[in-house]
Amino acid sequence: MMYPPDSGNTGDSGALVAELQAQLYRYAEDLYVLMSEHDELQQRYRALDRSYRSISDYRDLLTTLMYSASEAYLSTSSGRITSATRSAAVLFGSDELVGQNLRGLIAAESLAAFDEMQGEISAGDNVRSGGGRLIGLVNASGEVVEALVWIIDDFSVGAEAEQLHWLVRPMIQDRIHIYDRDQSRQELGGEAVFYADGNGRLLVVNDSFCRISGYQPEECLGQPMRILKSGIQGEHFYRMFWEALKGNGSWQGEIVNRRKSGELYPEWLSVAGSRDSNGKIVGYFGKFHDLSRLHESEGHLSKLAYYDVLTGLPNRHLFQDRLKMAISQARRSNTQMGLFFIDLDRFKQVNDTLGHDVGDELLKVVAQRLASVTREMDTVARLGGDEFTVILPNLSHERDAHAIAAKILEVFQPPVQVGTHLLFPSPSIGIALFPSHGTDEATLIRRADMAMYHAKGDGGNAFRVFEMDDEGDTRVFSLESAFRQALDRGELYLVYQPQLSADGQTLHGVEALLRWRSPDFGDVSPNVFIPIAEWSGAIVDIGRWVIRTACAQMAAWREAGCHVERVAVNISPRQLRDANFTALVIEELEHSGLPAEALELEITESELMLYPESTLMKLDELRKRGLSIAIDDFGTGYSNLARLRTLPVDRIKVDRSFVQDLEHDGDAQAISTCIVTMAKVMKLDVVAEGVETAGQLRHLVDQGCTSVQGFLFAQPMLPASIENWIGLLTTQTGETNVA
Amino acid sequence: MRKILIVDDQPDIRRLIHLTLGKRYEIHEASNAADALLLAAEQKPDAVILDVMMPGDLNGMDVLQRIRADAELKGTFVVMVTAKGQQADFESAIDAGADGYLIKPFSPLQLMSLLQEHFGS
Repeated sequence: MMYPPDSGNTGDSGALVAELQAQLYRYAEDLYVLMSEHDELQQRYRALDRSYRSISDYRDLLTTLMYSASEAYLSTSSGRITSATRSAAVLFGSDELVGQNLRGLIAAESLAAFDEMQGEISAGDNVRSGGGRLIGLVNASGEVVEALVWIIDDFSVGAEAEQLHWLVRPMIQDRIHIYDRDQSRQELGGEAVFYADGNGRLLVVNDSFCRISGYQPEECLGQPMRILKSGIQGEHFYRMFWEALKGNGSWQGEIVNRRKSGELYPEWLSVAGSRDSNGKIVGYFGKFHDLSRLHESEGHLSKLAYYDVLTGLPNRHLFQDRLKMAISQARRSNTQMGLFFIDLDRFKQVNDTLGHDVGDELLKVVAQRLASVTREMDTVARLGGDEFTVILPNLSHERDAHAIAAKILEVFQPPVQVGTHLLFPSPSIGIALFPSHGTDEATLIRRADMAMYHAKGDGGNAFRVFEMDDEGDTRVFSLESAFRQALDRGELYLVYQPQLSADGQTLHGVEALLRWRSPDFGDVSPNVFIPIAEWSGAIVDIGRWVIRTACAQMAAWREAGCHVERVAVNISPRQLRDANFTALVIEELEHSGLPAEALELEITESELMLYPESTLMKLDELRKRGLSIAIDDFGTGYSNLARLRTLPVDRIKVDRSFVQDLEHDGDAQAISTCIVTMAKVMKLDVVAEGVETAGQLRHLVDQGCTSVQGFLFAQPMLPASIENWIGLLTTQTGETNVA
Repeated sequence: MRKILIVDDQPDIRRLIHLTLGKRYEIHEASNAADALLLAAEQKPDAVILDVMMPGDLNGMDVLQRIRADAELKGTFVVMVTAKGQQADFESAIDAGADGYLIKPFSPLQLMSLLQEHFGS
């Protein structure tokens, strides 16, 4: 490859810059296209994964039905039994089946059907695709046992039909309730499976059937299928339904049924008849799943006036139904049940200052987030305004409710982008439990609401469980109140993660990461406490502490002869907005005696793109003094690369989500190639975050990425471990290889 | 590795294309028509990305005509690149035997797929 000398173009350099800028814009557009395709693909994969899981769930259940222990296998040669399974011996009540003529064990009234089956073989029909025949078998006590019989393989097609293999499944005599073996499957929205006899009476149901219909096994077994009828489908529908069953032998489609609670719900139903030798239907296999949560049925459901139009969540009406149902279920099954009341902090301000459209968009995101962390069996409802509730049936312990509340707090933490606005929603959650806080709907609702107001009064972004003793001793589960004291109590500390050259030989710097170990809550994820610090305002003091501590640590390392070139600290939007930010950073640097070059400030992409000029001026001023600026989480925000060119930036960090997908996702590869390429053109350094495997590293090196951070080389470490680690690195490479 | 010759007087644009394609192809660069012809004769590139507007006696169109007239080079895949609004260039480039045509600012994805389609990926 050769690079001819530049032609020393003296033309209109302004036009050239504009042309280049336009070209960079174009790259940014392509990047955006790639990223949205990437997003869409990921969603499709997830949907596929879900549907696959529901199919395999169904297969498992059907397998349980089909291959129950009572099923028997026999082989015959010229009509005589040559081998039989143990279960066949049980079925026929005889240990001496081998050698007997199978025809001799068939009840007189079924002989014609039995002969016909063998006749079909002679005629060369493909028996395996056919359904079983209902045949009467005579057991050792002379009783006739009805069984479905298949010929499962015919190795010698033709009149002789020497070798035949038989599958014999006795008709279901007893009513069976099948337990879903895997509880988590059930939560994924398992498929209901049932078997009814020729009169339409339910003989077999599984857990999902009970969950969806709201009936306990003992309540529905033996009952006619029509207990599920909603009355929505007219006579005409049922005529078609039965005609299809008689004709094709099966029917499937969407129908509306009624739960025990009286609530209507749409389901996708498949039914197939099983017939006897005369073609008479003797039973029905069926399966269905509840469609009421599926997006596809939204239009259908709004007709039923049970759903909130804005968010698609159940409305107050359905909430009351479900709460009633959950209470009676909990009472029957002797379990606990939880009720959450959730209110958004400062939502009114959003509506008042940014308008209802922005408020509505925010509510939609909130609804999605709530739905994403609750279990399948839980009900998330919107009562109106910014009031949400969650019904948690079937809790085995109060702490299960805490865990779900904590998950809700966590999932709320990422900011929400609505148009050009970046919003930081936070919830206040009140919790009441059945039966300890109330045994009827009204009491539970009142107490959950009361607890919610207490949580809000404590500053919000917290959950609180209702406490019976109102006089005092209210237990407050407020992360925020604990966090307020974390800095003073010395519960915060920094860990450092090395950033290295792609060959792992040279240390480029370290990133300081904030950690909180709370005596009450244990190790709390930064994803949870940083946003608390952010909106409570504590971030300003904490941010300053981080800068001071990181600088002091750098100075201490250098003092000890352990040279670390650079430390990066994360800066939040709130800190940057502080008018004294620049002065404060300079003061801390001077205090530590470190040169400005040793400090880098990391700012996330989405925030940087939204800053006003005045904020950027602060960064520019710091940069002129020698500090470096890095863009964090690059690739996840609005990638206006043309704007990027105008920002005071030295380095971009490729977001870990792209790095993670590098090995198996062409889109992620294209995106990271694009980012690295752009960075090179703009003469920016690139650090890839979250590098965990050699495969990812190989891709990054191919793309021209020179600096990496991640578990592959080093995890975040306490200061003393960093010293040891650098010592090892130096020994391995034989020299102090810092750049 | 297939060889691509990038001809553009603007070093930044050359560099951008170089970075876009450099992982897949062997890249050669020329900043003017004369260098382009010399390099093409020497390297026998599989494809040429050719800017129409270039300072000097010869422009991109001249380079294209000479490539098509050269017994050894006439089969070379040539993609012409030019600024917006030069519709006339588009027609004359097709007449002169260009295989592809991009308008600045061009889509890098389109450039990549043009080449991949031609080379059969």
